[in-house]
Amino acid sequence: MRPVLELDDVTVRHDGRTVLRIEHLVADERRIGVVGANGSGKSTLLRLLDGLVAPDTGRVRVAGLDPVRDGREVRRRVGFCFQDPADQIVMPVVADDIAFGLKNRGVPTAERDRRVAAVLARFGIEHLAGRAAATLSGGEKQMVALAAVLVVEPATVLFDEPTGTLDLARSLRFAQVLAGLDVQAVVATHDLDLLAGSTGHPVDRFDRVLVLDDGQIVADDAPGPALVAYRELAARTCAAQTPPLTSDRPPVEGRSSGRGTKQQVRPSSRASSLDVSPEPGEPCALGTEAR
Amino acid sequence: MTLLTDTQPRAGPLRAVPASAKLVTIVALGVLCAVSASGWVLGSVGLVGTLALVAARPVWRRLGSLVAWWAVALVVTVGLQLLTRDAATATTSVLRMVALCLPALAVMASTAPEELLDTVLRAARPLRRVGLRPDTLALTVALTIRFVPELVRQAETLRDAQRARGLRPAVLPVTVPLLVRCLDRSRTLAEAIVARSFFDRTAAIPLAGHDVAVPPSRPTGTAQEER
Repeated sequence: MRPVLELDDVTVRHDGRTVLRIEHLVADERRIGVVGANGSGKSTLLRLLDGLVAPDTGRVRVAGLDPVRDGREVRRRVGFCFQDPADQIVMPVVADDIAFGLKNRGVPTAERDRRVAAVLARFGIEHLAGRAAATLSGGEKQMVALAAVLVVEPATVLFDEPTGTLDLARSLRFAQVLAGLDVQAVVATHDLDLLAGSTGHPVDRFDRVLVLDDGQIVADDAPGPALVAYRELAARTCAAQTPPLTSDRPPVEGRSSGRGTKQQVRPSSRASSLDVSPEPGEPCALGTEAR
Repeated sequence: MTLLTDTQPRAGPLRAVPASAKLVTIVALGVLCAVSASGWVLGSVGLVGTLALVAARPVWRRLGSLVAWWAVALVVTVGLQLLTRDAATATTSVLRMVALCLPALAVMASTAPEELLDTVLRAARPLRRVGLRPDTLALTVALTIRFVPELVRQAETLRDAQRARGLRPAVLPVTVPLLVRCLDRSRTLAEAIVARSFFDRTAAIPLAGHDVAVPPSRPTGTAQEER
């Protein structure tokens, strides 16, 4: 049975500003996506579920446990993959790092070695076991970080921007790996292809996508409609933020590259082939992949 | 500084020496360097460090890094001499630094990190009586070994960024953003250590109650999401 994630009347404040406000959320789906602009509260939501951030008000429960008060128990059930895998690899050598979580949970040495070897084989990274973590590529670090989380066999894994630092091939590989995981996954991402299941690989579909805006859930639906709502939200935000770009704006004084001669830099006209900014209030271009 | 960025030990005469013996030697040399101002003593320790480093790594493969270390020492000596107008003091200070660094590098180059950590863990057990946790001390050493190469890489990236913008690389404009990045990263790292149950074992940080276990790194992941 998958753990149930529950939030009731939760607010999180930082520096006097409310950064997350969720009235009610109950989720027990196998694949849950979280999208939203930078600063919309995605990372805070994940951190709440792992007890890394405490709510200022309200109630958070993971499988009926309070992630802060019952942190030890929650962390036995929940794994966290940080945005930059380099940040969560704490031991100098790969095999030691994968064993780190097991050691902390008091798993005996023989069992630890067996599970480390098994997870390395599962991800096809046995050859990295003795490597110094600092010498790994970004994609290798991602796989090592994921292996280190999964080796403790959590029921739920929270992914914060898992494909944010990966190239396309590595992102596709991540989608494949994710598809093969028999765990509940909550994925905060900007990678809409991943959520829409359009990475070109037979990935499993997300069951539910939450759209966050300014710390609040503004859409909560199946991936198709949720991503449409997110694209429309992004387009509105883009249009509202687009600065007026008209030819009567005063010229900007600029300096050419290091030679000391000043030149006048004029804003290009709307007719310029380089100018793709919309008119003020004009909706930004909408992608169509997930519509 | 390849010597700092490669933490995997290679085969060599020093590889077979137990880590505990090497650490005891390092401590003894450190004490010697701290109490002695003799150029002969410091120079001898520096020479021993150089030879140890050569023994730890084939010198023909690491010659560039070794020359770089001594070149940096020479530049710092000249700089200090210009500042203090005291050649003896400048030479002593730099010799002391080099004499301490080179043997330490030799130990790092000839010892597997896990062996080093186990030794630190064993050596630190008596400190439990005065309230220090050996696990935490060993983790500190592990993090140092783990992140020094990352810091070197970040410093190189910052230096490249300055060059790309037509600036001449300078110490301060690299140090300040590097420090800011380190602080930012240290928060995430602390969260990762908590998330990976380290403190659930050692109970070094109370997790009960509704206090935040570790200060949140960002209000809503602003910088991290933008990275």
